[in-house]
Amino acid sequence: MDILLSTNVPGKVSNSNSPKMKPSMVADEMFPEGAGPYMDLDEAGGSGGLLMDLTANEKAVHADFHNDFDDLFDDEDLS
Amino acid sequence: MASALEHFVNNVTSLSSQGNYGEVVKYVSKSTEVLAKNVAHLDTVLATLEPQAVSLGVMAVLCVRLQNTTHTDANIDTLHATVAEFINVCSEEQIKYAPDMMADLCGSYADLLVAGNCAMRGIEVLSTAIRKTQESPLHLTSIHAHLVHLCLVSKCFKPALKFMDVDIMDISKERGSYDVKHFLLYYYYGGMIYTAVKNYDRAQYFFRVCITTPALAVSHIMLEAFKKYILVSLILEGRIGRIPKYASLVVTRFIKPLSQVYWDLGVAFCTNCPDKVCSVISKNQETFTRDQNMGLVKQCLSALYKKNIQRLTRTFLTLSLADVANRVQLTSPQEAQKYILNMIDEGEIHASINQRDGMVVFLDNPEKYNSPTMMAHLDKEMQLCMEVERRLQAMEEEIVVNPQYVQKVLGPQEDEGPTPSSAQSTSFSIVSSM
Repeated sequence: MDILLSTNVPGKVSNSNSPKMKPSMVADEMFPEGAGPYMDLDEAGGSGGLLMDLTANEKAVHADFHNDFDDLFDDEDLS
Repeated sequence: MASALEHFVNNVTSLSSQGNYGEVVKYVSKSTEVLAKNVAHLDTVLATLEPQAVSLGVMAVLCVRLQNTTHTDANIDTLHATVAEFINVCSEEQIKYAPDMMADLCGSYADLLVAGNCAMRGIEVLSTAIRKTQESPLHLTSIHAHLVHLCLVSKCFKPALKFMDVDIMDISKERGSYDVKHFLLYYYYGGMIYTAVKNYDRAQYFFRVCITTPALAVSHIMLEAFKKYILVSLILEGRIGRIPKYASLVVTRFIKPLSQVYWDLGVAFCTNCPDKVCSVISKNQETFTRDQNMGLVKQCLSALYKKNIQRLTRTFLTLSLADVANRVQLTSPQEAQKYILNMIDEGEIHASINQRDGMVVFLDNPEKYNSPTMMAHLDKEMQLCMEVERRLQAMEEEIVVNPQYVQKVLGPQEDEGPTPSSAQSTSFSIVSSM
């Protein structure tokens, strides 16, 4: 890790405690983009999928697969 | 030993000694019923047969023995040891005649280990079984799914990574008995392992392979993979991961509505507003906890704070820690500092902190792309691309001369018989879901 402990970056930053902004950037830095991109639902499947026998979808499979491993992704639980 | 079993032992020994392994496979397949009727004597049979010389015979006996026992069996330790010894010494040449039987054996063995809370014991054994059964290191077998399962249960991920880091190019047919469930499980469990070791890029790829498997029915494995795909994509890309065009309609029509809670979390995440994300989390905490995804959901929230700090670097040159905390809605400047230090450490931002006045200076990326290390990296990436291109070319060549493909492409002219020139002039592209 390389952490500089000085704010002395010539020509870029002053020693003032007030925020310094980058030029030619959007002033409202928080949420200028609005909501992020969404998945285009028409993309998935393709038109060929319409020919599929939809009654087949009424059933579900692999309901009995083993999926009980506790929560493996909890960074706060190091036990 | 019952006479039927004596007959079995004599026949497999005789056929094996003649090197007639195809016949041995046929014979042992027909003998399953006889073996199942004499389960009590199978340990004696196992003691009689030489595992290296009569591998197919021993494998058939072990399959039946494992299928007819439980983890509470008095001889379970001896049985585990017998399986481990067999896989270690069995003849590679012989077992390749019955990869389906080896897959069954490993499946029953893994189930017993999981039930007996000793999953770790089978990891090395199944790793050996994969190496002996695989046609090449690029082939996926059913045993892969059993191995990653054992690694997950025992929380010992490294042995699985050795196999998972190799990109699969083909699937072992296992004499027509390869089940899609094993394919889905391998990629689902594999994605979980990569998520646990924080290799999100690879985890996303594994979950994507799982959810884009051609399907006509809703698979619970695909459903769980879809939930994790959304969460991992939020952490990795800061948005809901796209679903490729070749995904089945089942995903958008059935699996997505079944994962609505996760979708809502993704939509809230895309607003970049931690309050909205926290609101979705607290509203659906029970569901996330029940799915054992709460840890991953918490990582998503953490990723959102990081994303918002990263967005600040696009606008500001300097900012106080208090300002950072305020703008990204962290509780204190100390917490903001913790996040920033962590992000610097991970190389996600380039910045320095002045401890005296609590100011953060956001710096430009110091990488000038002119170092020998960068050159070596680029070279490695190009080699990878060339290798993928070479493999695609080989697959295309293989498909273009496939009689079934040629017949399909020629359509109504099929009676006239395919000609190599007409097949090769047909333009097509390989759309792979792998």
